[in-house]
Amino acid sequence: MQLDRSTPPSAGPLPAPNFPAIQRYKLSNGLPVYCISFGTEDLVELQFNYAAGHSRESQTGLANLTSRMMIEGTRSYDSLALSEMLDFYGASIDIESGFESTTFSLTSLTKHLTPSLELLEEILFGPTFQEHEFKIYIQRSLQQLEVEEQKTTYIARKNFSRHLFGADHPYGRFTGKSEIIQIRLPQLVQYYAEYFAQGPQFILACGRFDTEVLLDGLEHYFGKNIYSGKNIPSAAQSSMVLSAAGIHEYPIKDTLQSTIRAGHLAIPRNHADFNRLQLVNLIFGGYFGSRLMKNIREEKGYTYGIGSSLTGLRYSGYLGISTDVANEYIAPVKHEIIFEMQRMQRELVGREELDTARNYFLGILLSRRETLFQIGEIVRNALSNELEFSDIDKAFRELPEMTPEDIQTLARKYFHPEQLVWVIAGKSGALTPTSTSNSFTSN
Amino acid sequence: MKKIEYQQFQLNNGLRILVHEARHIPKVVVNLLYKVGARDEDPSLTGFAHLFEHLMFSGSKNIPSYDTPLQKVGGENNAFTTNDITNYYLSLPSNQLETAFWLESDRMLELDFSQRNLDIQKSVVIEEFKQRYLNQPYGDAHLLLRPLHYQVHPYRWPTIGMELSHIEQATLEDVQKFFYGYYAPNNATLVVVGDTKADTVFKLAEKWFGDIPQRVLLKKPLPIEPPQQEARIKTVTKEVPYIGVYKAWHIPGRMHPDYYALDLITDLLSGGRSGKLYQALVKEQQIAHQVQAFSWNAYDPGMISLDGKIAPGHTIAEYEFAVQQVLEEVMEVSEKDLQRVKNKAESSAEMEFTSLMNVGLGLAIGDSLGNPELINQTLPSYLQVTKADIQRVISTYLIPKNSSTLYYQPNHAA
Repeated sequence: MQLDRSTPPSAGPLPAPNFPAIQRYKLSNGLPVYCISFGTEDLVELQFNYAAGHSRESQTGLANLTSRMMIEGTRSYDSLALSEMLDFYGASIDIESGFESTTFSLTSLTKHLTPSLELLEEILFGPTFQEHEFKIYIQRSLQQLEVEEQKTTYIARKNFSRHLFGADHPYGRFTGKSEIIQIRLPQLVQYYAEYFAQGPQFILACGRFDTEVLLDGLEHYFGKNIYSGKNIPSAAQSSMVLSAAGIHEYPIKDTLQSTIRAGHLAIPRNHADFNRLQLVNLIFGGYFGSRLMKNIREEKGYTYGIGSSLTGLRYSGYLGISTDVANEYIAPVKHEIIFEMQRMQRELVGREELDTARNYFLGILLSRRETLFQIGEIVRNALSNELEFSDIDKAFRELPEMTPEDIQTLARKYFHPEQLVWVIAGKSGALTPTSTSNSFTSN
Repeated sequence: MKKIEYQQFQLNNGLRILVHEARHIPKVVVNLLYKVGARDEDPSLTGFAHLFEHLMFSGSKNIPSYDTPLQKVGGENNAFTTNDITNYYLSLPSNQLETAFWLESDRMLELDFSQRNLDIQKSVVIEEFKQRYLNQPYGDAHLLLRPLHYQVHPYRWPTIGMELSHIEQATLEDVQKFFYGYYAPNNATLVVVGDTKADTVFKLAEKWFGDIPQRVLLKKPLPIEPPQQEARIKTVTKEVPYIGVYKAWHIPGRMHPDYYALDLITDLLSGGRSGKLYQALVKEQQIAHQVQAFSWNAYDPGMISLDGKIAPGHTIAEYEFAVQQVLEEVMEVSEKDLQRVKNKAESSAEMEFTSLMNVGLGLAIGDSLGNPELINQTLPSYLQVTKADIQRVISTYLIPKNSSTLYYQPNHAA
């Protein structure tokens, strides 16, 4: 029989979601520990989450720098000894400091977990904040950022949130050169005492381990320390947003391409419409088959890539679009972005296009539960955005019901092309021949 | 580390198939590797293998759009081109596996060549060229280092191409010739990893790929790079804040037994925060604010490269002296330091294979080098490296007359 190559093989429905079980325990001091058994490799990732970040600092960069200096020397080990010991056990510690929280993630082979825990206890409870290490760190960071300052992507990213939220809003902050220069070591010592010394908000363990052994280890190293458990309020809850719609240009000498970042405010991660609005964003610019990609890359060849994303934070959120384009395409790309946003509002999306995007979305959600790191991140995000664990699979219940009318309604409610904040780093003047908007010079 | 089990099979047309079953989530990854890369390009048409990779998504004989049907069943895909291979990979829910066979077999069978698609992908690739290499400070450093390091071997140009004009000149006729000369079942390995059974995969492979004819390959022997006789140095001056130093030494190809010791040396030098170069140059002496060593695991003889940026107030001579001192220190590596980088290799391997995609790629690369067992032999080979091996390979390969150096100078007074 001749093979029929023109019709796709018949496809059944997507497999049902199946998120691994999350067990909740408490150490004797009250510190919550979440355990997830997952994976086939003998690895474990432990995440220690602190309520420290841009929304809990009096000066931009304190949370970030304090956490980074914590691994540069402790009561028993200097920076080099710490690095050598961690590397000896094949373990690594990653630090992520964002708007609302700071996380220390330890990844280790399960068989070497105990010695790694001892080192982590030193880092979290015994950092010494040496002047010498601080100087080296600051100097190195400034030199590295000097290189970044020449990149259009960096300049656009650095300024985008400031214009979107306003410089005084915690979500408008960015730790760049001028922020780092102003920080002094005693501020870090004080920040540590206030935000890290009382211990993490929770510990999250994911991987292959014996739960009893793990809990014994955690109890030994972290169950006897102080754990206040008090809720430290986020400044983002009460800060005023001062969004600056319009065009903000950052000229950079001799660039071939410019980076465009555009966006406007949307909804926080725990908003009831969040998952559904994510599907709207997906159709608009959120994946390879999106309208922005098809129009601007695949039909016009203006760029190597363009994408939009819906970012959900704890107390706010935003829709953001970013792309790198040849200087001569800045104006046409801006025009097409607005055109596609308005089209989402004006016309009903076709059934076929909706089905494709929906299935893609749900397929990716299933697919991104493959490694212990992905599972750990999903659970951490749920915890730090105060979502119920039962909401982790909420998209699988909400999205199948959505109609083209729902997509249009959400696009009309949450898309606001006239409110877009545009940041263009690279060539200036492409959008503002009369130079009416704010223009800053970066060097 | 647990051994990665797999089964293998070959169709009559020469297509190689490997399957690794892993059932912890309802997902499959399909990896299709074609043994063609930038090294196979005509020197007057560089960048073509990569441009061609873009065209593979522009529709095939029976399927006008590659992406849409895949997205519709909840799958995603991507591809990359190196100097040696072009690799396509998809991931999808396991009950949709057949869609991957349908899509990949149709584009191996016959592409839908159109001038318009070619023109659009040329401009996308030109923007990619600018974004990755030209619009970044130091972005073209390795584009400049390659032709210094290689004088005759086609590794002298990067996958993106030697210059934009080569991409602009590509014609539909070139596209056709390339397709039939390299995109053949007898020049490919198909690997399926995940929630499926080997039998199912073999049947699907026979059904969808079985009738694709074997093709006459355009493969030609590649020129062999002659041994280097003296150190090469080149200096460029550009708009950058600091002096960049880009150094490369010739090393043998991926299948040579010395590869493992050489790769461990890059870990001793700059793997993790305890790396010797980082500790000496960045932390202790503060001559550099960034320094990184890589080994390039090319199929033909490759390179170890060492990229650094010099801190203000310091000189190239200080940097070079400090690097030399660290290399001498690594000659006398302690048992503990050697054990440290071996432990790191072990945990890296465990982490790498948490991803089905990495397992699929690892199997495909081994198979394309003629040894699918490579995926299981790699870690043991690292663990067997001795101090004597480290000393021998440093004094054989990491010597001045085997090196090329690019100095990337700021065009303003420091």
